[in-house]
Amino acid sequence: MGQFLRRVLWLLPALVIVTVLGFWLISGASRAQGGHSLPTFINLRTEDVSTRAWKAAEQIALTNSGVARARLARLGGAALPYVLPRLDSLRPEGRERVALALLPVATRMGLLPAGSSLDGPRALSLWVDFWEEHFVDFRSARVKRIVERTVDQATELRTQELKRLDTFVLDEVMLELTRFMAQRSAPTDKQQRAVLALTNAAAHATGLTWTLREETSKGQARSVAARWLSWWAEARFEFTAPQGIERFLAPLLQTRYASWAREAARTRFGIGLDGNPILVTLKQRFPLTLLLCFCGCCGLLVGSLLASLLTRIRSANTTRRFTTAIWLVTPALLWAASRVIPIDRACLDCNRQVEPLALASACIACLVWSGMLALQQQLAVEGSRGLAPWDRHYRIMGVGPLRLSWLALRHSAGVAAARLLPNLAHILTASTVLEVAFELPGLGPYTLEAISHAQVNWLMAVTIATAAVFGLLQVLADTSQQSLTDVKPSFFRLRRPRL
Amino acid sequence: MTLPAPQIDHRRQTYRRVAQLGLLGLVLLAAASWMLGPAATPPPTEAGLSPLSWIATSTLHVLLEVSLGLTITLVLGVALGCMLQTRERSSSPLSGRWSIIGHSIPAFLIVALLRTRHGETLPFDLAIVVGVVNGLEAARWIRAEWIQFEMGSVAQAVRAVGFDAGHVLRLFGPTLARTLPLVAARTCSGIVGLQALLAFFHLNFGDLSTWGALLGETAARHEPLTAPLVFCLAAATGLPLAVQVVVEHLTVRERRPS
Repeated sequence: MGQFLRRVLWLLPALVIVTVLGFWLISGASRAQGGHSLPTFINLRTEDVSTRAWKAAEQIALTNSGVARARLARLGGAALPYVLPRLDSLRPEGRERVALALLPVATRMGLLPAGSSLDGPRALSLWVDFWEEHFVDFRSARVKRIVERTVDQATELRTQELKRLDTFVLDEVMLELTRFMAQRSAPTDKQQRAVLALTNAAAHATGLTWTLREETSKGQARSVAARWLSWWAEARFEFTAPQGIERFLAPLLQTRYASWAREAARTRFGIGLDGNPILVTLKQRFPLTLLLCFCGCCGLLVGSLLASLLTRIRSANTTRRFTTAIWLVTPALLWAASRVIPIDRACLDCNRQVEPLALASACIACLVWSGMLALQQQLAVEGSRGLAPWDRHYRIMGVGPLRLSWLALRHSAGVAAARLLPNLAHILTASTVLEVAFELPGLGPYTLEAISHAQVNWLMAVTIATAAVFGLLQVLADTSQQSLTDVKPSFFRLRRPRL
Repeated sequence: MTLPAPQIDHRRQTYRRVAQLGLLGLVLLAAASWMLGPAATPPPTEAGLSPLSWIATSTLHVLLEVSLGLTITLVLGVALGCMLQTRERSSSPLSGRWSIIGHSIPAFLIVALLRTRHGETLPFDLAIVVGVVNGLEAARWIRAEWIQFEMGSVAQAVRAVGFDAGHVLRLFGPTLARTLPLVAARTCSGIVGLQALLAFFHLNFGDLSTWGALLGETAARHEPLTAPLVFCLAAATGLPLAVQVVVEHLTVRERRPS
């Protein structure tokens, strides 16, 4: 029991390794989709908003680089506390260049009317005056209060106040959206208005278009909030300055893997292709796949036991060829059966009722196919190895084949348990094929669709779920094998044969 | 008392096996014909080629894939198998377990994940994945053969005479002649089978003409073709059986005592 528990506990680090390998394998897809600048596992060039903002300001002051101007404009209000107080350290023409580069931010914040332009000295005086009057607003406590007041009652004035702080409010806004997503009950009208105000402010600051309208449904509010939070998982490192332990662990935390892990833990693996949370979809679809795999495992066990019996009745090599033929033809027959059986193919929604006939056919198909697989594998081994010495002794003593099979049942069950793990790949493949063929709402069809759409969250969820189930099955198989195999039938349990 | 010498009748066994293989082929053909009866006259493919021409043009690519997969399987299998058998007893089961775990991951899932990573199925992804997965399986087979050989009378006699482990290993070499053809046949059939499986899942290669792609195209148009299906079935299932028959014929077998 202690060994069993120890191995189960070892599954946890093994799962972490599986997620790392799986993420490495799949991460190319998210990179191909664009918009990700973070490295996958280790970030040796961590930068917070202060470093980014000041680097951009220095570059603008020296070379007036277009890239640096765009970067500073993107950082927006979040960069102001780190740039405006240090403007004096730049040369006079450099200050004016930086002030001019910040004019788009001023337009966003409502300090300037849209389309207006200023010369260098006036732009500089605008920012110097602004900072002298409003530096108090750029404190986290102040921002927190503004956001709380907006959530409490979203008015136009408070929304304008949020917009004046530009990207500096994003951290608090996302925190509020996280609280909104964490609640299980349906959102109230007040919360709906709050989400509307917060997402509008975020969209205004970042230029992204994930906004709500007054007449949108409450379910859509959650969807939009989820999109913002998913974006923020990686973008937060651009607009915030980590403190304390987070700063110390920045090389590990400012990576795509850490962002995914944080998001997976927070949002239950994110949102799937159908708009539902992935964990919910997984809960809906996993039992069916598990049922098919269970049928496959039962088939393996039954096939192995049957092989043990057949070996003692007939020559293994004679039986094996016929079972091999049946095993090979079975998939073709099953495919034909799936065409013939009248299944309602109208809908593939995972919420629909599973048609019992299709499910029963798939279960039987999986059982028969895996049973045949085990049968022919076991017979191949028996044919090449021959009978065990104690088996021959029993035969010499005149024990019949049925009695002999019964005596060897425990030993055969141990062999079947040992055969389980190498055949899990076949069983999972068979279950996927059957789900597609019989159009069952299991993991297989959804996974294939996720592969086509490069849905990283679903693939990672499936990888983790599969690895966990495989690991548990492996531990169970090993434990049962140990307790079953090393036991040979006792001579004392045998009645004296009639010679 | 002296035991009677084992009686071996190779010719009779060979005839029987060939007959059984022919019977199996007939069963397969009958099943395929039954399924695909209406498609007696196969229509040309979208590329304007008849199925047989398609098979001929795609054979080169399939051969390349099979060659790559075979190379990876044999090199990895022999290297890992030798490593597993020469390691200490305590660590060998652990390494063997890792090879079991590696082999228990479905190959189609790995290919699909690689497709997600690259955005498309690269031509030789399939051969590499099948090569590695079958290589892990081959390592386990080789390790099992080694354990059986090491416990056998020949190895014990050689050790008793005083020869070192290297000499025992050299004697073990010919034993692999029974295992490696089976591994190679399984790799070839695995590649063709995986092609067909990917075609069934609509995860074909881009513009590459493979046997599996032909199956996928016909399945997408709901016009099953007898020729490619039978060809794939024969390649995926008949090859390991044929090799098994040959290996069994070449292996000296004793008759079971009655």
